[in-house]
Amino acid sequence: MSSTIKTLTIAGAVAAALVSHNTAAEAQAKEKCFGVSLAGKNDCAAGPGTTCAGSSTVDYQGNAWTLVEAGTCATIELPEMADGTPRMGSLEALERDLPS
Amino acid sequence: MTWAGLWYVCPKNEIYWQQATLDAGIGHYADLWSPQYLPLGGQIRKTYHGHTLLTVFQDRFFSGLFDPQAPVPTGLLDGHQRPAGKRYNVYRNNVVTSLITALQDGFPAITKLLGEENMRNLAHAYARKHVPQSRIMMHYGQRLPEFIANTKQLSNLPYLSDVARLELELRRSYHAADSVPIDPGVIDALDPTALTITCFELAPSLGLICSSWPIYSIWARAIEDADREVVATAQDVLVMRPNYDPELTVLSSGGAEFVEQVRRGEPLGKAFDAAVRKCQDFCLTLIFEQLLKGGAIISARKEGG
Repeated sequence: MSSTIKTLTIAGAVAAALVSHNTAAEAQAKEKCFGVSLAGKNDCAAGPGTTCAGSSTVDYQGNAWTLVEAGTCATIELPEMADGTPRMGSLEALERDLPS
Repeated sequence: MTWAGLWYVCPKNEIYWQQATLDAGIGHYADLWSPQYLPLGGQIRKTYHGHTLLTVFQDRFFSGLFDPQAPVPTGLLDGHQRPAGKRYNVYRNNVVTSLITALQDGFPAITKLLGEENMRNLAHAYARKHVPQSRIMMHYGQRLPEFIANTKQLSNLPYLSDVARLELELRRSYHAADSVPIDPGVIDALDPTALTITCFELAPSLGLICSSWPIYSIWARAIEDADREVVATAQDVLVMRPNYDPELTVLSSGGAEFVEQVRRGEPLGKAFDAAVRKCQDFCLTLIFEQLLKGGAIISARKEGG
C-alpha cells in the first residue's frame, strides 16, 4: 500500500483502539476485596517458596483478598456469620474470620 | 532443640552456616544458600555457644545429596560429635522433597496434565539433574521446558514443553518490575505521520510465548475449567499484568510478530509492515487494544529520539 494510505490505516487503527480502550476501561476496573474468598482460593501467582496464593485457610478470611469488578466489593452477598451478624466484603482488611 | 549447626565449605571457598538443620532434621534446601557466610578456604572446626560446629567440604556434602545410595560424607558429625548418618539421610530426603514440591507449586498446569504421581517422578528426575542455581526458589525450574522436550517418555505430549514455558513466563511476569501504563491521551495527541515513527516501550511484565499448539486452551483447561474445549490450533499467548496478577491473552495472527518488533524498539510503521508481511489479515486495532488493556504500553518516543 502507498505510504499515505499506510499512515492513515495505522492512525485509524490506533484511534479505534484508543476509543474502544477508553470505553472498556471504565467497565473493567477491578478492586481488591477483602473477606470474600473461599479458603485456599485467594488470588496470587507468586510461585514456590512464597506464601501467598491459596494461603487463606478459612472461608471469607478477613485479611485475604481477591480481585472483583470495581464498585461491587461491598455489595457481594455472603452467608451471615454463626452469631447472625451479616458478612460483607470490604476494601480494607477485616478482623473477622481470621484463622485461629 | 539442640542448638548446633554445620559449617561447610563450598567450592567457591565460602563457608556457610547451616543453623541447626541437621539436628532438628527439618532442613530446607533454600537454606543451603543462606546468606550468612564467610569467605574462607580449607576445612575448619569452630565452636558456637559451646558446641563444636561440624566441618566438611561443601562439594563432599553436596555430592551425596541427590543419590540416596551415596555414603554419608566422612567427617560429617552431628552436634554431639557423632557421625551424622541418619541426619544426613533426613536432610537429603528433605532437599529432594522440597525441590519436587517447588516444581509442583511452580508448574500447576503441568502437574494437573501429568497427574501428581507422574509429576513427582518428572520433578525428581529434573531435580537430580538441575540443582537450583539461585537461592531464590520462586524461579526454580527454568530448564524444565527443555527437560520435558528431551524426556522420551513424554514425547506423546508434544505440547507439554510449551505449556511449561507459559507457566515460567507467568511467574517471571508476576515478579517483574512495576510500571505505569502510558496515558492514552499522549498517543491520541500524535498526528498520523508522527504515529508511524513512534516507538513504544513495553512493560517489563509483558511476555510472549509462541507455540504451534493450543497452549492457552490446554493451560486454561488444566487450571480454570476442566470442561473447556480444546481446538487443535496454534496459539501465541501474551502475558500481561494489568493489575496484580499476570493475565493471558491469545493473539490473533500477526500479533506476535508485531509485539516482537515493538519490543525490539521498531517504530509503529515498521512493526505494522512486518506483521502484515507475516499475515495479510493482521489487525492493528485489536493488538493495540489488547496491549492498552493489559497496561503493557508504558511510554512513547520518536524513532531515534
